[in-house]
Amino acid sequence: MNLLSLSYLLFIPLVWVLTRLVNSVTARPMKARQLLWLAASYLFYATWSLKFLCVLVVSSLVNYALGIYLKRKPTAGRLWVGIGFNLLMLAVFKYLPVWSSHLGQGHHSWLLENVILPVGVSFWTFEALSYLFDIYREEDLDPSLTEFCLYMAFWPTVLSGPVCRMPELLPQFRNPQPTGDDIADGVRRIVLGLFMKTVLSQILGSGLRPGEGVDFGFNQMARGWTGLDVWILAIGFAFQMYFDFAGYSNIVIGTARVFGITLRENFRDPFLSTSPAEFWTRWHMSLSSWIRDYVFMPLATWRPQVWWRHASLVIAMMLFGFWHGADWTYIVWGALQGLLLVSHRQFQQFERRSNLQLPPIVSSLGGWAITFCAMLLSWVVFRANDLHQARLMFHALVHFSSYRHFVLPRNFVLMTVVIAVSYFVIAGLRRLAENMKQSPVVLRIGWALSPVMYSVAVLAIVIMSIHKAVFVYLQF
Amino acid sequence: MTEVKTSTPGAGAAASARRMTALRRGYVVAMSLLLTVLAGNWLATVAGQNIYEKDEARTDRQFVAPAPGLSPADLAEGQAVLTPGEAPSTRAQLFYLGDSQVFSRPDAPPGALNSAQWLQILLARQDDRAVRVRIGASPGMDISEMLLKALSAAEQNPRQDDVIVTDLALAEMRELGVRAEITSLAAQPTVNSDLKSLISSNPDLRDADKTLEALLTPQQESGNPAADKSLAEKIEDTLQRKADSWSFFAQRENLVGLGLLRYAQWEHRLLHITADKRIPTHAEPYRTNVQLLELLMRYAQARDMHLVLFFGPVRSIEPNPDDPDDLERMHRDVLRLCERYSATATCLDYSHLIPEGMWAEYSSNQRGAFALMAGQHDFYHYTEAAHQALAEKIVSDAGSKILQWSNQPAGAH
Repeated sequence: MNLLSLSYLLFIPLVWVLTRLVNSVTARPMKARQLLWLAASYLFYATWSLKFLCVLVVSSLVNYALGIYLKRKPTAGRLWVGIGFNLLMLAVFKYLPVWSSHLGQGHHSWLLENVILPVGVSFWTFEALSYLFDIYREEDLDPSLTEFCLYMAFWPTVLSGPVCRMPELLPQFRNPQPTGDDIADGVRRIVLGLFMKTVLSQILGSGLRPGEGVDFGFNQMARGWTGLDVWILAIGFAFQMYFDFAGYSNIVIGTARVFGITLRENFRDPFLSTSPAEFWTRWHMSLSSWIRDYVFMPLATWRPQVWWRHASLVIAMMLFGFWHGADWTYIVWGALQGLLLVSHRQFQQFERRSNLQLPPIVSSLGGWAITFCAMLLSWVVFRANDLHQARLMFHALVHFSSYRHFVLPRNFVLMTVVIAVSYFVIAGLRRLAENMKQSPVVLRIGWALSPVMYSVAVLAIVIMSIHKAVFVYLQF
Repeated sequence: MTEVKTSTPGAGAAASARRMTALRRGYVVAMSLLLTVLAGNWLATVAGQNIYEKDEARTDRQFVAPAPGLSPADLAEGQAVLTPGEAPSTRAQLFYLGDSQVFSRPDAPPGALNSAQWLQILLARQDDRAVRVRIGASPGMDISEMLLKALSAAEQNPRQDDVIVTDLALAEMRELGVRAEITSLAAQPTVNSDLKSLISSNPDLRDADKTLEALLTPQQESGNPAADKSLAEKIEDTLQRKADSWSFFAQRENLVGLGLLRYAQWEHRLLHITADKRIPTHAEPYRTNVQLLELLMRYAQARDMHLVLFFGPVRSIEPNPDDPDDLERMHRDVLRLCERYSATATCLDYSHLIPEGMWAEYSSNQRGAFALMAGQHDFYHYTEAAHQALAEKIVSDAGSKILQWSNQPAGAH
């Protein structure tokens, strides 16, 4: 069941009504509600594949057992058993099929050819790992088997996160109390998410007409980009990814909110960041904080030297890249992110040492411009089909004679510029509106206009729904 | 108790705020639904009018009108091109590719013949059991789309194509990109396997391979036959069908088309785009299209098929959207390929075949995007007389070869 399908839009109210029914009818509403949600989650996941569900159930049962084993005696050895199991799961189900395809036809065994890649495996495996880490840190966690299985399979998050933590979800699973505000906000975010994905990300990804869009620029053009083309493709892809994944996150967070569950935020205006460090507190926040807490921090505290701290940063970001898939483009992208973070730290230290005091406006604008451009360039590596393509595109970037014209279709260039500029205008207006939030006039205008905005968004979503869009992050 | 409740000022204010919030939420929900339904119905009506015009245009092209000089047998041959049905396997299959030129006869009344129909009639007059012409042209088709259509047509019929006839215009070499309805052809198992084998056996044509590889991915997702669908997919299909009962939902595709047309109108106005504005031909898509053409030749060669390529007529007035240097380069490159694959491909040059008087002008009576350029020269479409002249020229230059090939069926059928 795709989050963009009519089935899903019917699935939400159906489970919601059943939840209300279970709450009012049964003697033990908490247990009954959790069982209902678990059944709904398994049903939702089984619509993707029964085999996927089997892997998820096995992983949940083993991780629950590992949690009990670790809780009895939280030693590093026992933790490593848990880590080993989950890394093995990832290696077998996520990386083995890719590696085996690199081996060539002659090396395929029956087993390799039949290994499946369960959708969302990297997300719920990381949730399982964070549970084991939290137990090792002796956090007070006592989920029942149903609660743990629900934590792993919770249907809004099972496909692509946000990567949740047990200490945040457990109390909410036990006592969710959806208010009118939750439902209103949840619906608003679902509509917003559908609009971001179905309309904006779709236009950027596939273009208005065939032969346009980011996918065309990266997949069907084997070479011949000009410097301007590469910049436009980088901007187009950055915003396509943002609208795709932030749109997905809005749908997911909105769905959970309707049921009274508040999930971690995943995006917070990432393109307004004024430094790489700030960017990673605004982009895919649930995973970047996971990497910070469970990879970078333990690594960085292992040795006291400054160089090691920097190396830890690069290693952590390379692992972040590798998490997306066993491809050199992701690993190089991760390394670039690590180097950007290290450079930023170095610059901060230089600022402190030299007592450099830039005017705030210069510092903010300069920081924003450098961060935005650096992130755009790193997305080129991320999206390129291989390192050779990335090299060709960077070659075009440094070839200043190639800045004379676009090869990409004019429509795509225009759409990308319009969408990117609109993003910054709307972000600015939203900040302005937030400052004036308490003004009764602004409130009334907001209420009066919101039906128009909802109806325009719904109409656009319905029209663009003919394109049968698929979320980019499902492949990770 | 009641007195206590009503007399507490804080509780009263809170209750009033709650009522207000509930009222506002009710207003937002009701107004949103109302506006969505009203605007949706209005949009559906607008799209419905547009589709009516499209249907009308299609109907105009679906019959052959009697005309002086056409016998009943000619009319039957012309009609068979439009509604081929089950093509007799005894006849050689001639697949006629091309772009909107094949269909467009702005001067002609409904039922007038196009060049493909004229070709059928003229060949049948020489041997009425030799060849069956089928049209595979689509407006704005590029070479990758031609290749896909050729692959698909080769598999669909009682026998594979024996001859492919197509024009080559610079416009077809400028852009890359396969529209969804043609991409879906790649989902056919035989087309899919042909594509894969073309890619793997022609690694030297890297740019073309890259373009075709991109077509392979989506078909695997969308190409499930109904029988293989899971219960969830069947439920979704049913819901989509139910949703189509709301006219707005059913008109989504037409609304997208209409939106693109309005967008093009604004684009033309804002950027002062006219029909004679020079269009650049960038190296990258051009090179890839040349490689795709070579791939088509190799495919035809491997299947013992014959290709008749002709340089499409060019309107010889200035200003002109086609750069003479680009045209010259295209001629040079295509002729080089024809030389290399001379056993398979026959190249004909009809660039100057159509005299100025036989070219069309855009008029406000035309539909869709063409109406945007009313009053301007049409550089891509010509009159009915030109269609006949073109077919006569093909028959005069390659007719005997085509009839000869029809006696030597291509490939393994």
